[in-house]
Amino acid sequence: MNQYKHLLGVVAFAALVGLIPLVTDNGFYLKVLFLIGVNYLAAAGLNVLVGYAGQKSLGHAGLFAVGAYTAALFTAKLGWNPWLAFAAAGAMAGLFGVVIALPALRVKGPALAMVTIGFGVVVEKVVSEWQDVFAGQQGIYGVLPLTFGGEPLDARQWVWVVLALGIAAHLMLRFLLRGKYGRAFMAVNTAEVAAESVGVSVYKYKVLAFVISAVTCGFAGALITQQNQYINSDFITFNLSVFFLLIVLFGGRSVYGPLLGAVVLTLLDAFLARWPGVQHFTYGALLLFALYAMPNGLSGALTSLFRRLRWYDRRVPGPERAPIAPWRLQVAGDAVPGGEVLLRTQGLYKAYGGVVPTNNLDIEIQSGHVHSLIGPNGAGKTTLLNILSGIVPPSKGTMEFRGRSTVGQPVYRICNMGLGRTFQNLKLFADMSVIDNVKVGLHQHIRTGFWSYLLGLPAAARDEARATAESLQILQFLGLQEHARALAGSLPYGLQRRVELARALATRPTLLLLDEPAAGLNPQETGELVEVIRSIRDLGITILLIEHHMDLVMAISDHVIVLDYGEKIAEGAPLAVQSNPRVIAAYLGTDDEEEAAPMGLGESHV
Amino acid sequence: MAVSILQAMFSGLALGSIYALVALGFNITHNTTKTFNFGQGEFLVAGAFIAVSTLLLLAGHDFKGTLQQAEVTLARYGLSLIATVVIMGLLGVVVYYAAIRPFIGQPGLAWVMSTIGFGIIIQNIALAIWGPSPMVMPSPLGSEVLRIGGAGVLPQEILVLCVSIALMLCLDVVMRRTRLGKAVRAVAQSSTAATLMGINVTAIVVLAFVVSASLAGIAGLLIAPITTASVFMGLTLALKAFSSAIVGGLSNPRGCMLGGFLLGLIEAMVGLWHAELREISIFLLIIFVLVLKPEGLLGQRVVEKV
Amino acid sequence: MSEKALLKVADLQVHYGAVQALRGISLEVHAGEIVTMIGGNGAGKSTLMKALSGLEPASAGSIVFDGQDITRLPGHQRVALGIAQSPEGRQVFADQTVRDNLILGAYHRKVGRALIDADIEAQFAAFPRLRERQDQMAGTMSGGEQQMLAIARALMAKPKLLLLDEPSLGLAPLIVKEIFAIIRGLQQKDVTILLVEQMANQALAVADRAYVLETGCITMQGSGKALRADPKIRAAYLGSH
Repeated sequence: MNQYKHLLGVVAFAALVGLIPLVTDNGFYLKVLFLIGVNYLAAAGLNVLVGYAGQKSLGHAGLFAVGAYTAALFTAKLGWNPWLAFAAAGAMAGLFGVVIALPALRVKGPALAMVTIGFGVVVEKVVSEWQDVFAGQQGIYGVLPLTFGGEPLDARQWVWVVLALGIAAHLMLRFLLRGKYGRAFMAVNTAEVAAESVGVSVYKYKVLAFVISAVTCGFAGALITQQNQYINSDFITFNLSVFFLLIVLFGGRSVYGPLLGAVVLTLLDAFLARWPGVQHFTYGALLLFALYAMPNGLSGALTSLFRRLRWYDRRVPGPERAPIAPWRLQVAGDAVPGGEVLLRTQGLYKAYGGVVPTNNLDIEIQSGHVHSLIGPNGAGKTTLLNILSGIVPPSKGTMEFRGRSTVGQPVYRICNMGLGRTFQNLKLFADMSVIDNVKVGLHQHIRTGFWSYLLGLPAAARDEARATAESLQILQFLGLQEHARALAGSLPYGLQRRVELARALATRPTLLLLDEPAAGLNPQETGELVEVIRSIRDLGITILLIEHHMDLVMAISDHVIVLDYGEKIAEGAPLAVQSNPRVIAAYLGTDDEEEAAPMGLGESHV
Repeated sequence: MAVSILQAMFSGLALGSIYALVALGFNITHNTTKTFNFGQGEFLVAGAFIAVSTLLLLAGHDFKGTLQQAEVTLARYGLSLIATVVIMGLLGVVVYYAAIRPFIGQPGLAWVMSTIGFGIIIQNIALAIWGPSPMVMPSPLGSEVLRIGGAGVLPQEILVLCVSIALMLCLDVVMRRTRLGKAVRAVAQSSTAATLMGINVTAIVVLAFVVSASLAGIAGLLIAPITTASVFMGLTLALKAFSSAIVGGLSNPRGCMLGGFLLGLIEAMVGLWHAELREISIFLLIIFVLVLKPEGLLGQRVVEKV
Repeated sequence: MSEKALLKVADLQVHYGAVQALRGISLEVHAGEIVTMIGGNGAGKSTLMKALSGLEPASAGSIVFDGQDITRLPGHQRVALGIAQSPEGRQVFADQTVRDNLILGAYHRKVGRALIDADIEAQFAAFPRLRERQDQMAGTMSGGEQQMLAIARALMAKPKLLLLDEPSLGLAPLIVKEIFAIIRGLQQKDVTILLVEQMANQALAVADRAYVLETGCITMQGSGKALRADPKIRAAYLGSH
């Protein structure tokens, strides 16, 4: 959506909602509006964690409690200024967001959900049983509300404050999520390993998502406490965590999802407040309903409805008008002169129990050349690539890339050093657009930081524009520019492979590892791939590829390395390797008539 | 001092055996489908309430009411166990088809939330049927405290321990010695290889959920006489059971049992020292385990193939 | 030969999402034969094996076994009809003993313990190495031993058709020789075998008839001897000069 249209919409919305307190005096309606705002705040942050980063947390009542009790204790017991206490509530909640993230992220998926539930339950127990500090069910009275001109806010002013906070949160989160951070969160959600391999520190981003969700929940808690001027432990229950999660799931992942969810569910909640049993039952039922019928939430369902009614079409808006300049690879630091050793391994060894996929490998990759790694199935080729890119640690041996050891380095840092890769089993961010996939590849080269994105500073906008321009150049380089805005997962298989290649190129690698790039391609696509690999080499990128398509390997390689049972059995120019009898035997097996010479492979494999 | 420690040990072991049963339920479904029922706690509660109602009906009362001690005989207790197992087993089938199967293999962990939703629905149905106040179930063995080594032990605690251990041994034997148990373990290892043996994987998986739900129900029935069985106790119990699985190793059935007993003991000991720190100590323990050895004491690290 | 085929595959197609792995292949296996399908990586060999055992659904085409159309039959029911497989990578049940693996192989047979034990003894007679390790955990055995176990386990199902998916995968040359000797021996016991392999020479040496699979299509077929002498086979694997 056009930036101006969006801003206009926000202003109009603010004006409309802001008018309501002027039009009505009804305390109930104003309270409901206030609650919608509070729930929206909590959900907007939780949406970043659950919807974008994909971490299902069921303990956010605990973070709500942190914010609530911070505001309560700082004002009632310590006499702080209510606005300062409000700010402190958010900060404290953020801190606790880190506290919960650290153990929770040690496990994955369902176990993480359980750990967050545990966190919520612990907080619930602490505030209800530690009577001295938290006064349990009795609660804390005398919480100071926010003030305006020295007077506590009245019902109308609360609505305006919440409206202002909601709009601020919306604008900030929208900037954040439309840019590099939103893409990073979604990448982490869709394909963690791929995200790491293009330079995104998955752990860091998960923690960040936790903190963002914690801060907004904390503010929500503080708002409730300060509006009621009271808090007790009855507010903090597992049902509250479920309620927040339900808002996010029901509303859907998009930026507007939390708003839709907050409105519907707050109204429902208010309506059912008289029958608490029915209330909770409805949440359970709604949860199931949302999962069956609206997996993309209300916002997703509405979007498809609009699309079907042709109210708007978010698909490809035609090919880019402006001519795109050819892509010139910008390499950080000095360009590596041709013929130099880029990557060296010595004695590389990896064992899994009794299986040894990598057995004492000494490999040298020279810059400017195309190297191929071949060998029969089970020879250990993909394992080698995984070790080189840092996904699998070697049991023994050394690896050096551009003179620096890469053993034990995290995957994203190895990518920072200039090593990019593609995967044998495609790992695209399938539900992001093609150009967004490439932009994730550029992630580590976008220097602008978190606060610039959050506040929508011009530096962020400039970087985004630059990223878009460069991504288009890369797409054009691979002939994909007309698919820029298409959903990556909707393209035919051959094009999807090319998108993954574009994404890897966007990391501006010095060395590019390709794992079976021709897998699943028909002969015509394979022929095109040969040309593509040549042009990548002409850009100055060194390539190491694993392949089984012998024609491809022979056509494109300067140097071939042959593996068998995890060991290097031959290397050299393609023609030499092709007629090497050891290589032939490794692929076709020996004839019964020829007794196989020991070949150095030995009986150790028995 | 020693007496109170001994006493705490007994109740800790009894409670721990309940955690172990529920944790085993998690283990069985997780091994075969990589999923488990987040609403397991509500199943435990449901089991307890079904048992109480059965006992009431057997005594000629309405299904809601107060049970007298004399009305709870061992025979009737046994019958209520059967009723619980049957109904909970059916519920296990329902939860598999309603909340797990539609979402298996889909990214996004929808099954976590669907089982939570299902659990909430069960809880509120129970609330609607039986109301919010706790249900009293007298123990079939009476409430006279026995003295073992000076420590006061409820006969029900001994019953809980015996039945749980018997069940666990039974399951262990079935898993290791019988054809069916081998088939279940085969499905857990590789459902494709299991299919190649002629094993009907779906049937095995449904069985896993039936067993898991029944275990939770039996746990509820066992624990009802020694705690206040209210509709709201499910979540905390499920969390503790899950924590036991984490500590012992979710993928290892013996680990889950070990974890359960360990957690029960620790909880009882800490309870002796500072009652209000009981739950917090458990969760701190979990965090500790997660940081040091996330796969649990007896679990194995899963190597993901890239 | 106008003998009725034990297995008849017609125009079989299999898709993995958008990717077509088998593009309409047809083949026949007659009782008592060893038929091999050779091809490089990504040719679709394992996909064919999975489709035959019901692990992957066919998008089009038909599979007729022993006169019955099994194209839509669930995988676990095909075992009872007489199709058993030693799958790619062997997939033994690593945390169960050798003996238990063999017991599982006979799972579909509704016979008493005594008969199963007798069959296990027969397998041990054929594979003495397995008898030595009968109480050992299958996952701790070497690749060659696991391959023997996978074959023995499949034979415990008393199949009419034995499917072998790349038995040479990851095995040392001497072990591969041993495995192929075993396969040859099986033919003498009247077991019908469909074997897919990457090790073309050895597979062709042991087979009566052979097919060549390249990117989901059958490009050559004939007797084992004829194909073995054909220089096109080398080209298919190592590229043309």
